[in-house]
Amino acid sequence: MIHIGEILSQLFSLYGIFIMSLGVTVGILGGALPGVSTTMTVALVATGTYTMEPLWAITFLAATQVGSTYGGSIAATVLNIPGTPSAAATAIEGYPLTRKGEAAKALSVNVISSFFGNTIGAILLVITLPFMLKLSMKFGPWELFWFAIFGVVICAKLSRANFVKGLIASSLGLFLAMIGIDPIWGTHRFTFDILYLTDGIPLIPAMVGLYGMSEVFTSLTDHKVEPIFFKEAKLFQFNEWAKYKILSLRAALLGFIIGVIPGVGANIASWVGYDHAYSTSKQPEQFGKGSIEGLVGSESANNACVPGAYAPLLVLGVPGDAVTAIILGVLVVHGVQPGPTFLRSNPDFLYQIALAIIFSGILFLIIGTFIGRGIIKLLVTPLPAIMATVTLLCVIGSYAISFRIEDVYLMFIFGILGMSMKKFDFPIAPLILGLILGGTLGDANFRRSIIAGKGSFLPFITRPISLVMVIMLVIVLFFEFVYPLLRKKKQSKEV
Amino acid sequence: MNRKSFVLILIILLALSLVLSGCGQKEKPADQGTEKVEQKEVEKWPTRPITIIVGFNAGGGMDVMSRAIAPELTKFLGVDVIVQNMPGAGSGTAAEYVLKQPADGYTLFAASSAISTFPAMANSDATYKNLGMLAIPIIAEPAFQVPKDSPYKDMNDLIEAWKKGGTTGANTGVGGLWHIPQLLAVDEVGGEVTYVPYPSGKEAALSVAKGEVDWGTSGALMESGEFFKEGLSRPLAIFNDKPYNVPGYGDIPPITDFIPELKDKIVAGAGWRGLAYKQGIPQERLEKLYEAIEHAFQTESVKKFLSDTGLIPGTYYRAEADKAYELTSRIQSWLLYDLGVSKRSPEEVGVPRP
Repeated sequence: MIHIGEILSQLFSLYGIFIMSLGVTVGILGGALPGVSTTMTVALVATGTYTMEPLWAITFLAATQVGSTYGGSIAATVLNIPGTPSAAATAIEGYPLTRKGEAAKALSVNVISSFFGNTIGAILLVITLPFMLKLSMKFGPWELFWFAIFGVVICAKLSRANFVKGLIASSLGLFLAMIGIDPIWGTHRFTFDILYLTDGIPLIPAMVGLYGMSEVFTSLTDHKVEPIFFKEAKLFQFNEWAKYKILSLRAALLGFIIGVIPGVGANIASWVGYDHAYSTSKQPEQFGKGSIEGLVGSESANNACVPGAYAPLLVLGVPGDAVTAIILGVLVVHGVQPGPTFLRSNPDFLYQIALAIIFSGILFLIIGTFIGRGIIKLLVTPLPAIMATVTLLCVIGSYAISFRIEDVYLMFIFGILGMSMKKFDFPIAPLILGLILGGTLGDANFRRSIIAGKGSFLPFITRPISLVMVIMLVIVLFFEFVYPLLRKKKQSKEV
Repeated sequence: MNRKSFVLILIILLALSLVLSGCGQKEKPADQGTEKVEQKEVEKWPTRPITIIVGFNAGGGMDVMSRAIAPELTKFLGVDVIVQNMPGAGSGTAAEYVLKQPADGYTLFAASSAISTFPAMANSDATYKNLGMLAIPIIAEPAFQVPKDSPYKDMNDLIEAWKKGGTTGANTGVGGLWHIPQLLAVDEVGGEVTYVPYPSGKEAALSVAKGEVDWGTSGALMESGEFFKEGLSRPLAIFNDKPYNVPGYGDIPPITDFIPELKDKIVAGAGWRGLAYKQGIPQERLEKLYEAIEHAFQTESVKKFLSDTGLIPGTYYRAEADKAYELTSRIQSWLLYDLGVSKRSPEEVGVPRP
């Protein structure tokens, strides 16, 4: 027996609206601060939810997560510093738009795409959950490995402008991901007996350095940086978004599917959505110069991923990403153990979560628009003031993750690396993606597959979902890299 | 106007980021040198907040335990007891931090049995010689389990398969919490198995349910209970000397029914959660902390937490806890060293063979 009416009246009580607004606002601000990721924002507010009722706790946390996933795009667009790793793809198109004076338009497209992706994701969660248990039982390390390979292909596609430099950057990313205790045998790799390196290169300080600090260094060395301006624009740019509503829907579907797979989160979803926008665009030459399509793809996908990650949590009790892992911990404190039998005896739980996510979406559509509008005003301030603030935020953001000063040093090192890469025209995106894909997703799952398969490589192509993924991979590779070559040959023959 | 609103936004942003970064560590022991830990006639202690350092992320098992007991400790001691997460190096970073703090009792360390592997794995130089154990109030409940359609009907079948060799068993990684009971059990019967490491106990349990591996070891209630109830996997034995009840499923027989020789190694193998301190705290303060933690585990709220989460209450307090830590440390670190898993000989940090 499902009590939708009861859930609705609860959510729309004064307390419910207060809790969700608070969560969304804290989430947006946390997400917008460079270095404060969604995971960290949720972890911080989680400590305040131990005294709440379980359903309110999860409503509050879901609202925070939803707000923060959107919030990351604000700093990405305005400052070229992704507030959260899942907004890294957004920065590629958002920042050029800001340079053109169209920050207001970009932010509004972000918030609408995020809202749409979020809503689609929550609806899909309710519809597909009954089938999810059977499907998720078919996903193993073999499939996750192929997934990582898809990510590497996206790395290559992101490097189309300069293939060799892109491959160097992504290889560097994959190499950096190998540093630390290896996830299979516990061997120390490239740690040089430094305790700090045993956990590997932490993603957030690296990302904050590569995007944020490098921007500061660049502005120190490059005196020709033009001041940024912005044009006034309508608050809600529904028309701009509506041109790409079908793309938004497709990206949301992709994002949701990625969220459903345990261990693959919004960080990767945004890249897949962005890449999908690129691949299907009629104006691919606009990408990298401020393409609205790129924004729609990335933001629809990463927000649709959020509800998706609740599917494995609800049906299996296994968190879909780092944020749902924290939410699982909170549920455990409340004595709730999610899983198949729990879901059967508490069907309301699913609807509470899905509706909380949808209404949080409506709230961030409103709150986010106004916060975004306020933050744009930053742009008219003199560059030195902006860069001093960015420096401070970069230091605080990287320190606050685990209170280690080494994280701050690492952030500066990556800042210098990022500046050098920009100077020599190396793309940063493949490096970040390589860092995300390398260790726990690619390397660990490959080796886990081999061990679990008792040394056999066959399961990589004999398992049904694996086989489908291999076929898809071959098709993508053919059309992406082989077909253009063939066409060129044919053309040159004709000439 | 624009300048004004910018300054306002800047201030809000800065305030927020400072608050966010400050949230985790509210109390830093600033008075390291000033406070003399000399014993006075009747010392009023504690006078300022006590911090429990957790070496893992928020939401993990150690974090959850610490947050469950912190309010009860606060009530008993009369000062705030704050939980701070300091993840890194399998709680090695946290251990190093705790050892650098003054031995004044204001910094406690929520330690899992993972610290017993430090002498071999070298995550930290913490051993039972510089860390004391206030209590080991929780014993873990690793269950040996197989997929639903596995040919192994009971634990004896699985033991036979170990002896034959060639099976794959899921765990949480080399030297990890669920690897140790596997090593002890397989070693005892003289078997040969291939271990498949997963990132968490939950994922190890799931891999068994999916049939990716022949068998696995995971926490019986929180990690695999739902899969047992759903009929996706079957538990064969619990690493304990008493049967274990999974509500809604039934009893799991103890491993000692099948391998009686393991009886003395249960504590060392099952894994546990404890509360540690840097050695050298004045005896009176230690006494107070002992009382506080014993009291906390007698309260209704903590008892409810234990039964909700299916954790087995431990019985190791005071010197007993130190002894259990020493035993676990010697067995686990030498086991890992002898298997060639770790480089550092536990002898380097003065931990002799068991």
